[in-house]
Amino acid sequence: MSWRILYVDDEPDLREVAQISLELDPELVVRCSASGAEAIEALPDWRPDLVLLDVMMPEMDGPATLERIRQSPGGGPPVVFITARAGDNDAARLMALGAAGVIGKPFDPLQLAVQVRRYLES
Amino acid sequence: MFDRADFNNHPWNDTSLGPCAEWPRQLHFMCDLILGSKQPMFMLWGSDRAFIYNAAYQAIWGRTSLDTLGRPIQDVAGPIWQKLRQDVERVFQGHSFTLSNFGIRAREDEPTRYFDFSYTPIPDYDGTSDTVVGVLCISTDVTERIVAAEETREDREVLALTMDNVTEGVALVEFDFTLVLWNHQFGVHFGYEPEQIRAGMNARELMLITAGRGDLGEGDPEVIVDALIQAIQQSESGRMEVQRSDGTVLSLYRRAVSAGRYLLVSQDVTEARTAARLKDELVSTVSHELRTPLTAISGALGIVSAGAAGELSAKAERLIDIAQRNSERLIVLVNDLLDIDKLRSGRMEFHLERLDLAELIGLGVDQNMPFAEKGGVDLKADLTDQPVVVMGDRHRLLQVLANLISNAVKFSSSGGIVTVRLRTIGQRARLSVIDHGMGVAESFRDRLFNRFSQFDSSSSRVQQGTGLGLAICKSIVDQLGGTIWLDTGVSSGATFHVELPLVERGKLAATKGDE
Repeated sequence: MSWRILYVDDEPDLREVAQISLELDPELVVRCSASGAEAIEALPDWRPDLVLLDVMMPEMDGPATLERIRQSPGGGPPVVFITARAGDNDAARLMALGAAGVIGKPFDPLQLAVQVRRYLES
Repeated sequence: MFDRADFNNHPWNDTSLGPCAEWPRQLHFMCDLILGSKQPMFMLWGSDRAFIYNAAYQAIWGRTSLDTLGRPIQDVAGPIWQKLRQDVERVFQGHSFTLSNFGIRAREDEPTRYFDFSYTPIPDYDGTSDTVVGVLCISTDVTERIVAAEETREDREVLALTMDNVTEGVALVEFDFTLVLWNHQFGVHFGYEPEQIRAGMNARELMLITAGRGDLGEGDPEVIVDALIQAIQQSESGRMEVQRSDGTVLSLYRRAVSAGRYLLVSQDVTEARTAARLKDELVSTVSHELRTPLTAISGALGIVSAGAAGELSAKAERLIDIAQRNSERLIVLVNDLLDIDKLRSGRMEFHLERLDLAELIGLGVDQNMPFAEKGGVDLKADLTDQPVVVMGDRHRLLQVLANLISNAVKFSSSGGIVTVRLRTIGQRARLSVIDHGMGVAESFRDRLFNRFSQFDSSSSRVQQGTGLGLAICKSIVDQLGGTIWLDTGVSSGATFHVELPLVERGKLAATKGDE
């Protein structure tokens, strides 16, 4: 049994750290996208079980990307936001957009996979 | 000075009045009157206006000789007579006349004194004719009045000069808002045209101009101004900020002064506000920008130190541990900066709910146990058996507790004990965090809760903090309606108390019943 994850972040270093963190769980298979547009493009082919989406990105930001994902056939996979602005306000605002969850930055690399599995299994 | 004998012995025979014995009764009577008076007086008598004066009058002119006594005024008065002649001749026609504020210097080295000269006709009492036989002039020394008026004028000039050269706008209004005085800056600050502002007007008119421009907020200017006036009348002093539609920000300070008057002082704080906003934005932006690289650093270090990237040598493990601890410190600092930024700008949200402090503190102590153990400190909870219910924000109270425990642990030596105690005192819940460490130096106590305050930053132990922890604690506790303070009564170590108002038992029971 394995889960497919799409991690979307414009920061290459963060993509790499997140990928390694997530792959500490051997049942998580990760692909990364460097922008919202790239993520939309990867969706039909990769068909992820969960999208981890950075909020602040140039051009198409997290919320805009989420909106596009929702337009895909079947409404697309569940989306969890990853954000440096994980204050109560921000989290509530993001949840209201239809996100499955919000994970704050900096995340704990040893806990990231655990958190993600919790969303996958719920 | 001369006396009555000198007067009587004067060679009157040489004057047009002739010997005293032959004078009419009325002239004798008038001479008795003026010679007996301390008030400076003189008379002009008869057709050639013979000059008769008393000692007080002579003193005004600083003369000692009596050679002018009884002589025609035009022979002795010089050019002044030429000026006054017409007016004095009219007094001989029966009209009174007053010469005001006439300046005289008796001697070169004396200051000018000022007099009012009041001229009155003297009718012929014997009734032999209806002509005026003389003119009596009584003089009054008005020097003090003149000097006072001059001083007032000078004071006003100095006041006006001072007021127009300060950067603050200043205005003084009566209790009924009548405008008494104001300076140039005041008009400039509020953008009033010179013809719009005048003494004696009601300041309400000016407030209406300001409100009409939308500078006092949206709405009907009359309603806004009346509400403002009502608010002003209910307090001794106050400070308000006026954001003008042209972008100017004014800080307006009002204070009741004597006699029910209000003093208004306006300051242009546009630059200060802009600078403060830029600073806040900078702190906020920098803090957020720091989070991204910090996430990468701490993430990478976390994976490596967990051995998930392969075995490490003992030396590499120690170095990774140092790097990890320091990146954690940076994360705490950034989080603290963001928290203080939010607390200061009022953007920190509080989720108030009824909380059992006994349960919450138990949880907080458990959460902070690993940190205490790392420092070799025995963290003890001394709680109540009964629930202690307050209104609070769970997350923020845990943050306060974590800060206090973290400080207590840092200042304790290995093997030390830190106690977290909860008690109810009257209508308040008191949380105390007690350590037996080095205590807080007296010199540091008054700035303990300030931002970026750290005692003895050379001490490596203390450097672990950001200097923001207690400032954050105080902001949070303040906003929850509580108090936080350092107990200065303890003999060793440091004890911090936090008190929060208890929720009444009755209320709690009622709410539970509803649920």
